[in-house]
Amino acid sequence: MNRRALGIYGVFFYLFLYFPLLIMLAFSFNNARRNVVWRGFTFKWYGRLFHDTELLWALATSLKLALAAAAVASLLGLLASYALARHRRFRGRGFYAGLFNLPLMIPEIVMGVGLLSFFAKARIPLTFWTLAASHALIALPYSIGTIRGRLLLLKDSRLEEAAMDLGATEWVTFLKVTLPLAWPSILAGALLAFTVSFEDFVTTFFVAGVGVVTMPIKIYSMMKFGVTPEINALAVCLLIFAATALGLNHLSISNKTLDSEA
Amino acid sequence: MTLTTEEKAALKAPWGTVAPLLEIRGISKSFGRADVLSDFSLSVNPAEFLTLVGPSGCGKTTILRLIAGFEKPRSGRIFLAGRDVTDLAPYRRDIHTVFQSYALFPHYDVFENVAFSLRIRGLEEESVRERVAEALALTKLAGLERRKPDQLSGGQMQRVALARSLAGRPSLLLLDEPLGALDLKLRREMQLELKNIQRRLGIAFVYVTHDQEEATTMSDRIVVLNRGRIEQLGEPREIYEKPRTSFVANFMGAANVLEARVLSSSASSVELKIEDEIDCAVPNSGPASAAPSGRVYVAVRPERVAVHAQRPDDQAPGILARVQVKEHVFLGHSSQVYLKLFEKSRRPFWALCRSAPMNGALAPGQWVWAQFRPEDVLMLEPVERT
Repeated sequence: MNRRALGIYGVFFYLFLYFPLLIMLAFSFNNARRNVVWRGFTFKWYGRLFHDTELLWALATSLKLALAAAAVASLLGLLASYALARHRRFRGRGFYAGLFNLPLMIPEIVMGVGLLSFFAKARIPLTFWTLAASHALIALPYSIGTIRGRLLLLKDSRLEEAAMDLGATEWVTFLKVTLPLAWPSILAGALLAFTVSFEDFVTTFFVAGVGVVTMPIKIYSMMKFGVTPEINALAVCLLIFAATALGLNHLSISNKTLDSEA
Repeated sequence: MTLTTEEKAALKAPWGTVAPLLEIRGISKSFGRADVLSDFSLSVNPAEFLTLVGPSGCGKTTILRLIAGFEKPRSGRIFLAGRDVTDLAPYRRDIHTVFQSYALFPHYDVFENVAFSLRIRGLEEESVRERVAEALALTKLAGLERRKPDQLSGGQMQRVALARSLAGRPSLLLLDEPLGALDLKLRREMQLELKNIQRRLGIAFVYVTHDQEEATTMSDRIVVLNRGRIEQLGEPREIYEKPRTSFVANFMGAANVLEARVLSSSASSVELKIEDEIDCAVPNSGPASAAPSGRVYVAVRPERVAVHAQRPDDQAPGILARVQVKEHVFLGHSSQVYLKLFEKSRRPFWALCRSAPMNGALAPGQWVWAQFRPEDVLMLEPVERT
């Protein structure tokens, strides 16, 4: 009885989560202009999607942007996490740790407005690179979050101490022990940062310069003319992309422990 | 490198005749508000196996971390082979550590783990191979070169950790409860092997453990620590046979600690009244005569107490008392007999008997005879913390 109730609950839970996506998936193959009635199966929306140069251009912009943001966020995240994990007791450590997480708490609309007025006041023209910097900023907490946990674990395992004990300087220890062992977490953080940047709408809406059109912005502008099956097809492509990224992420951190005795 | 018997004898010579390899002078260390060590001093001789033993929180691991360079003392200096290393980073000291958790590098195989310190020093590939092979042979790991740490058993990981520290040929090896995670049988085996390796290489070992038996098995000298202070320092036999305080008597082996009054004392012997009941004369080992109040504590090892069903009628009965059995625990190779020494005594008193020929007589409530020799009454220092 209990098991059955739990089973039914489970079914509804997953329907609640994924039914909208299933609808979207189905209608991307719908042979009709509108998303209301099923008129038969077709691939034509996918075909049209791959010939829409504006859309492909937006996709390329988003990918480049996400790569840049992920790279910057990972590098800064690694440095910040190293400081936070390595030096456990420096003055104001808690304060700085909190400060790094602040972008998670601040409503994005506030971030957007803040960034826009900053760039305006500082007379920095809005370009691809200002947008990349803004994305790196909002992605930073994610990369710090993943890397820091791993580095703390590494510290507890005494591996870095062992390396120094055996004659490795701080720098050699970092290269030979810390970096190789923290690598999965850096990768996981980069993937998260990539995703955050790729899907960002609000901040981008404020700070995107003229002519810099990202995928979410493009979709939004297409929506003004109604939800077409082409958008559904695009969404399905993105979904597949996201699932792949998630799978990769899972593989890279698949419960690898640091303790040699585990 | 192996030492000749003469060299060994020279090292065993009274402390101070050999220039110490490591010298800790007046170290103080505190974590937050807790003072772990204050004005702590200790010397380690070359090629010596020195064990720091004490309960958890006594500061033994902190001492090891100070020597390795992972912690900086608040005051005091540390000298290695005459050189002040207090402010040197761990990688600038000729000291390696075997960690309790082994801390093997999970991304390297056994060979690369052992080769770590050699590669860092930029040794030629040829000599790296040679010295890794040597260290692996020494620790009986040959054949496991390509295994990753997660493919090893606990005992094998322990050996890899040891090989990794020995490959660099340090002048001093620190071992932080290296056998703590192994089962009893393996631990006994490794104790003998460690001692053997240490003797063969002539490297000084500073070994940390909370296991008194382990300390006694392997050490040239033992440092008994309690709350950051040295309770006693000496050779295992000396510490076992002449414990200075009740802490040492209890920690290094078992002890029945009893209260006594000094009736009179001469240079050779002391007249005692133990627990207000037994009069006896015991050899004067020093500390008791210093007691101003005349109140002292003495210890009797349970294994030195004999239990008899009938009053023994030998020539030198030693100290004999009629006692009541409280409990009898059979251990296989021996048995523990808990006794009520006197009607009003609150302190537990027990005997460890090799054999129990009179099983029936040791039932609780039975009256038996307990016997021990005056030489086995160990006088403790009057300072007592109960």
